[in-house]
Amino acid sequence: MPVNVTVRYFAILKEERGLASEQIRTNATDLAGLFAELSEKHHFSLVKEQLRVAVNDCFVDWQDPVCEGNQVVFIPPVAGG
Amino acid sequence: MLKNHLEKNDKQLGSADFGLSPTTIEVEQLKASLENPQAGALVCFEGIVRNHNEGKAVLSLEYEAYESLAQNEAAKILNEARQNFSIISAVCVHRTGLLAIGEAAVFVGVTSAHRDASFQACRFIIDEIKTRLPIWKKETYHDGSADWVNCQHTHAESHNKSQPQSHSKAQAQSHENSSAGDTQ
Repeated sequence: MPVNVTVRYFAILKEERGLASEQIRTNATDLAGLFAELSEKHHFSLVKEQLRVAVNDCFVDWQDPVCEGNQVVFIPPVAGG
Repeated sequence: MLKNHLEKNDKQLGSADFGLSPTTIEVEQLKASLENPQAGALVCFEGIVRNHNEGKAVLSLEYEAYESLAQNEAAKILNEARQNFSIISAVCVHRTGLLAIGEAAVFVGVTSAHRDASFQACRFIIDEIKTRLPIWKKETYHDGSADWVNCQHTHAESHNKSQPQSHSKAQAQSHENSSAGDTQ
């Protein structure tokens, strides 16, 4: 059953997507599937293995389910400090 | 008591021990916020924007942060520092937005009764901040080009919750060859 989620983009992914946030209706069952779906559509330069994923402001696993109303963020390689 | 002191004296931190600031880091204010009669040591680290990276002349750089996750993760790092080292207090402020050469990108300040704990905790905090906080750096070079640092050269490595160190290691390695925003 499809669910609605908000995807936020930062840094290089934001530039490549051309926006900071969007509502997605998806059939993906886990977060890896959601990223694969978006990556196929938008041709991101980063692959899943270079990213981490966060849901509702916490780091989570790629195998975690995609749940209705979640806010999902794919985290590019960080460079603070 | 310390919290009250911070609240009163530091607008960049408010009641927290970590802050993201779109404006110049107020180093003297932050140091003042750490004053404590029990402290025998104050160790501060400032990461500064330098003018070169990987052979390219850096003109300026921009930091972007995922603020709410950065706040959560920084709170964890500072708690870990308090648990692992005998310190009195620790604060950290990281810049966001556009920075020029010579500006402070990050400040870490730690106090303790004796110096060893402050040195160790300060090093721990800046190392963890660099590898764990969702903060990104875009460098603009003199030749007009620009790059998101670490987004070109990082190689595939599995990152997930059950292997929290793998992300850090990958980042730490890539930092050996990059980052205009700090000392190595």
